[in-house]
Amino acid sequence: MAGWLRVAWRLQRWELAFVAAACAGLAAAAGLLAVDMRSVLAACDPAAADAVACTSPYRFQDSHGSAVSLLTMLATVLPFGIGLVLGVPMVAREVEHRTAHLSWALAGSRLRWLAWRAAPVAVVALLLVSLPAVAVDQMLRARWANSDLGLLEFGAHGVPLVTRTGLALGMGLLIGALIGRLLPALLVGIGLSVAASVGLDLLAPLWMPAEPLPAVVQGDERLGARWRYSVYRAPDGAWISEREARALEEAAHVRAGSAEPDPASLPEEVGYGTPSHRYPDVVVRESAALAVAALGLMGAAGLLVHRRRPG
Amino acid sequence: MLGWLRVAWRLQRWELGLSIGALCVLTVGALVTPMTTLVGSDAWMTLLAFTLIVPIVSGLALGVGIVGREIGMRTGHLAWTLEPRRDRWLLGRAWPVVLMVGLPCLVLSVATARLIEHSGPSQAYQLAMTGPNVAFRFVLALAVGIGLGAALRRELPGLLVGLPLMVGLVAVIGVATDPWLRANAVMVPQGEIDGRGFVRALTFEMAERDTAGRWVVREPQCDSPASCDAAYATMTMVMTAVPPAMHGPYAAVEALVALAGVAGFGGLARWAISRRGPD
Repeated sequence: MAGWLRVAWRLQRWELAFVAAACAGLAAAAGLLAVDMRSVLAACDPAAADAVACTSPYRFQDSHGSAVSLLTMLATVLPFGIGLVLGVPMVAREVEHRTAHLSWALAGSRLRWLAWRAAPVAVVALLLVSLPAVAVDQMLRARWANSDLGLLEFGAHGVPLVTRTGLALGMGLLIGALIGRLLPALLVGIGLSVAASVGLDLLAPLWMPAEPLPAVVQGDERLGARWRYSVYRAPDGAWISEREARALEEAAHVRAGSAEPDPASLPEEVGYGTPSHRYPDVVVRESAALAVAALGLMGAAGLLVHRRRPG
Repeated sequence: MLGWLRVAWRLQRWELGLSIGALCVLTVGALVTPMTTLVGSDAWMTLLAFTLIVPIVSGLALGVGIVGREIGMRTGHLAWTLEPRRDRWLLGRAWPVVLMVGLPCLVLSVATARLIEHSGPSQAYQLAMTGPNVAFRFVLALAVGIGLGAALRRELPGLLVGLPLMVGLVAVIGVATDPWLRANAVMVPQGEIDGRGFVRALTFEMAERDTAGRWVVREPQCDSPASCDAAYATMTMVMTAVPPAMHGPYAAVEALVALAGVAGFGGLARWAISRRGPD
């Protein structure tokens, strides 16, 4: 293993250094923001006049909001960046530089070569991405300190960041093996990463089944829930469309004149989606799906390496 | 002339094909989107964002390959000896790429100009998404890619260094030109805004005309709903925006930056390949 780690470092030192710098930079920035926000919260006096502002979920909207949004966005694209930068060159560079015939012959078996070549890089990549995964998680928990984070910014922090990196590595490996040239494979990979990101959003209902969400009592209660759609119930209990609900609401306001309408005369909105307390289930389901997909992609890459000509 | 075009295509057909394909897809998207989706929808914003990103990524990916690949594959010594001078080889390799991708960039900029015209004047960075600026950014990224590919002698490291460098350059251009654009901004009443030609709305404020007929921003003075209604009725919402007359000077700035990039990074590439031994 140490020998293969050394080989990985010698062949991909630029890429590994870049990934390490990106992960460390993002983790440091997110960690600093988390510490700063927590220190502000710790200095809050519950007895002071501005105690309500201290506990507001939008406490850091103006002061830290932009920096948190920027780091969260970077964390969302980080797994795909790592996957492409480390995954694509593994096979593509060997084929492009015509060194594949030598290295595959020296390993005895092409599949063994691929496994030993990919495993150390994958382990290092997953370890490295764990740093920003934890730091961004802490930053978001500090940002929404008085709310349930739940499914908010799902995929940009915690375990999903690590599993997405695994998927992106598999994707990069397969694209590199398929195209066999570094830059074209990277360009195709960038396009496919956008498609994969959209695809993960579209497939989310598979691991985020919809159920009735708790009624909104306070503004931040549904913060961590993933809302999908609403259904409406008339005051007589019948299910109605959104348009009918709006018409009923308007009629109730017209009847009430300048006063507030009687709540019993208003239609009820029932939100459907995934409540925030389902976060652990969602993580387990998505991780299992992505792990299977990543292994499938790596298996396909192995099949390609096994069958392709080395030049 | 045709020979260089053929060489560029044969050596970088994947990169050229993907870049031109992506620009064509964006152009079609920019033409179709106003007919199919609402102004300011996600599709509009995504298209405009890709108009900023794709020329830069294409320029870098094509640029790092021109010298970086020749050195990395150890074919440089052969390619350079086939030309009397190495800098002539560099020029011969670069201009077909500029031509083949720069033209689709210009076509895309015409399509996005239409998109921005429809979307109204309140989106930032719109100046860089329209007119020849799209092509200038591509040329700048290409020059950065060529220079880094030659200096680092490998494609992927060149690309990895080039991406943050280009992001930094774009940010610096934005920050540096902002005070100048603000100084040249004009005030336009909201009722006279149709989005045509106006880009980068800087502020929306309540104002009224002074005795000389100029717009003066004032805070409405009122202490009750009725007096506020009366105060607002005498005032007009005005937008401070960069006028169409600034498109030309801004494009000149972008052209100068691209030219400086070509001179600087092209010079770096020329220096790097002229001092390399025939390995």
